[in-house]
Amino acid sequence: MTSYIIRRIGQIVLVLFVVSVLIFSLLQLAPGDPATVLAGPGTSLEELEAIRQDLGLNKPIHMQYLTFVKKLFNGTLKSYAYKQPVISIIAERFPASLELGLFAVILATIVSIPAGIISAIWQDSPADYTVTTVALLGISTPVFWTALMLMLLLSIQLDALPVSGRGATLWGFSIFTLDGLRHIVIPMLALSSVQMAMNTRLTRSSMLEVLREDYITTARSKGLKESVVILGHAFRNAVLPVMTNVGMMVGTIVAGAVLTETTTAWPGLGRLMISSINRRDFAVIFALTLLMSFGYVLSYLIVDILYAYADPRITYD
Amino acid sequence: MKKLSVLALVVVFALGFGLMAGAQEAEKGGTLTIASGQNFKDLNPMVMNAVYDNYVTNQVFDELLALDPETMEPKPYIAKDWEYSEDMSEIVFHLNKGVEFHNGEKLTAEDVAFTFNWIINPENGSPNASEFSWLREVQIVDEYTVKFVVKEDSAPYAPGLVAETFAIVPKDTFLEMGREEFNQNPVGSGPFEFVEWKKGDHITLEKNDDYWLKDVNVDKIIFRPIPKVSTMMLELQKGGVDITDTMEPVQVPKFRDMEDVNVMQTPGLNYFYVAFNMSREPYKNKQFRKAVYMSFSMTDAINSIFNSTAKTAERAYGAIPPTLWANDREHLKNNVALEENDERAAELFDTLEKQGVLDEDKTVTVYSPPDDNRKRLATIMVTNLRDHGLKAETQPLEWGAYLDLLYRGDDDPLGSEVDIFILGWSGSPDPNAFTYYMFETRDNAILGAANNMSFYYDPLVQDRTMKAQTTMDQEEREELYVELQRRVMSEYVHIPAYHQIETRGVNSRVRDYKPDPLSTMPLVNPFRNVWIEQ
Repeated sequence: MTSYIIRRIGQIVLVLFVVSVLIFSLLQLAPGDPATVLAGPGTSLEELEAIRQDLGLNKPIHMQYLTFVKKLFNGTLKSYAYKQPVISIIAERFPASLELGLFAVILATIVSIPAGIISAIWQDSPADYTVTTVALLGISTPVFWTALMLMLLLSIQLDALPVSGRGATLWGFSIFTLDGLRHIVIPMLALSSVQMAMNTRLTRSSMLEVLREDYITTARSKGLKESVVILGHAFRNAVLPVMTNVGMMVGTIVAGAVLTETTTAWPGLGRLMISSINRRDFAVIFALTLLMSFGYVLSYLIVDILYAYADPRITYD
Repeated sequence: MKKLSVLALVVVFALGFGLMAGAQEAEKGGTLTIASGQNFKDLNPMVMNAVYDNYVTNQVFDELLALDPETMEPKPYIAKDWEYSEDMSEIVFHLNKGVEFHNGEKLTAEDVAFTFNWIINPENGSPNASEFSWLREVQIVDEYTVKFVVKEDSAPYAPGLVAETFAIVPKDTFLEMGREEFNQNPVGSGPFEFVEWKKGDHITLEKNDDYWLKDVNVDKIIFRPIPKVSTMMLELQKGGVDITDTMEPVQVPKFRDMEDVNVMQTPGLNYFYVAFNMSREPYKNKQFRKAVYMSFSMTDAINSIFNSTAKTAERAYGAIPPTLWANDREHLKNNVALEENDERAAELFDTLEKQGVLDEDKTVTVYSPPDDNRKRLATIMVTNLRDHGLKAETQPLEWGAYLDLLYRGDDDPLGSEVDIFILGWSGSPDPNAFTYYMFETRDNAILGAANNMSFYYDPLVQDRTMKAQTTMDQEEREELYVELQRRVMSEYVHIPAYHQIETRGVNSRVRDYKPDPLSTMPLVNPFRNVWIEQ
């Protein structure tokens, strides 16, 4: 296992290198000059040139790439727009994305797995129809609309929660304050709705497939309790695709939730990405994309390792 | 007779009480929460060039002059008065004594000179340098007197520009802190002191107890960026924010009916337009431009886009906004603007095709920036052009790509690649701001730099623009602006679209607040001192 993990870490480094080259090249190809966007209309050619010089945009592309990578790793890469180190800008927003994403994934997981199992074991029952209908609605409803409806219901009609924003924080996190907790409910529900729905459908279909296997009939014929059959035999075998999906959901934590964050004015990485794209802040886009890629590859690595624990047939040595 | 006297007395008392109730005394304290549609970026006024950053810097810093919200004329603020030299090459400002920055430093001529000289120094790469192309340098005369050495053609409108948004920065503190640190922790002399900036979430300011101008009423201001307007409207409805910097036109009638919210509007100093790229065929052909103008109804388009009941914009007929002198609106509306005339438009398109000016295989592209209003306008235009048998398409672009296209185009320095494009302009309260940049050639028809992106050149317009910049006689200037605007508009370089009306949602507990035509957020200055009814 150790050699497998070391090999995978090597692969991660390679993937991140390829992603960094790809992102840097795409940024160069994308229309829009950061100097023009920063300076705004009516700027003279000399001023634009001065801004380009200040940002190092007039150097050869390969030099710009090397400077980006070097500065990113020694923490001196600065945002074009904020003129602050990119690391500190991301660090300031990261807790907001982390807590929102993490809570949304936890909520989605603890709701979707039991719902998917119930739906599968009582297939074609009213409970199954309810779960599948709600899940279908969850997948089909855009997150921003769900968020707006939740605001209308919970904030305006019931007057139970604040409309938007992050509220008070302690040590960078909202969840440690009552005001912060009240603020996180709506974005968390909105963000988890889609993930919850997708995971419910996946759990259901995966369970249905396993429940038709011969070894489930054998287990039942041996007189095992139904709970043992479902959780010990069926679910354990159905869990692999579900784990993969949860892993992907964890990846999205780092990616931030652009729509949810924009609609609920949540100051996370997703919103930072959008504003950086609009401002052509290449430094922030570059660093954020690498961070998101790292989040994904890391979550896949963890899922792969967990596979071995969930399914003894899988070995990596 | 006696009965009448008693009645008169009752009326007088009632009126007196009524007036007293109307002129309620300002209350102290409270927190004002202001929602902005955009994230804040720069809090250093020397580099800040976005209107929403100005919401904050307006409170933390003071400007040399202030614009009177009623007349739009520059009035004393940090400078108590000013005078011109005989040859109009110098403007001397006398500063108020006793103005202090939040850290206790005195505001002197040294700070004023440093602020403006720093902006115009190309080494500092300030995006605001182009706003000061009229300024040669600022000299210190004595501790409380500065001299602005200006180019001869800028004296008439220089004070207006100084008053607009450019606030005074403390020289020693700035140099000590450095540019980046100062941008994060600004120190000014304004009515509120900077407290904290949680990026993407909020900026907090607290009352400056020692403000030199007046006793500030509000204790604390919180600025919150809320990117989605629907969310902002819900916050306004719930009372989560007190002032919103924008409103959804469709929601305006609903908020007008609400007791807790006031919809406040003031005509903005802005101009939105459809422009032709006159460096290329067929757009350089006046008959083609007229045919496009007559192929649709701009008035109907503006009414449908801005929801005629909400009235968040009004139809434009010229570039100079109706609130400014020399706007000549009635003449342009009645004698120059074209109404929809499908038959005439079809005739013109046919003739142009026969003359070989209009190629039937050529696609006419209407470019627009990413905002919904202008995207809709482009769609309306293209639909009508297609009805006339032209190949037409819309091309909405996000700002980075759009500016790139308008400023770069190709290698030809006298033209860009766009066909028809939709843009907007907001400026200082002088007609020069709405004519010089968009229609002048020498400084502005330069690819990659300036704003005459139609590449329009007319010796008469050029001459009148320059003359209007060098005379101090307002009547004479007005005549020149009227003449040049009539010329530009009757050449149909632009199809004037609309002037946006500054529309703000304001909680009814907020008092002594009025939206500003320049889209800024003045809360405490020589003309107002906002307070909250507790």
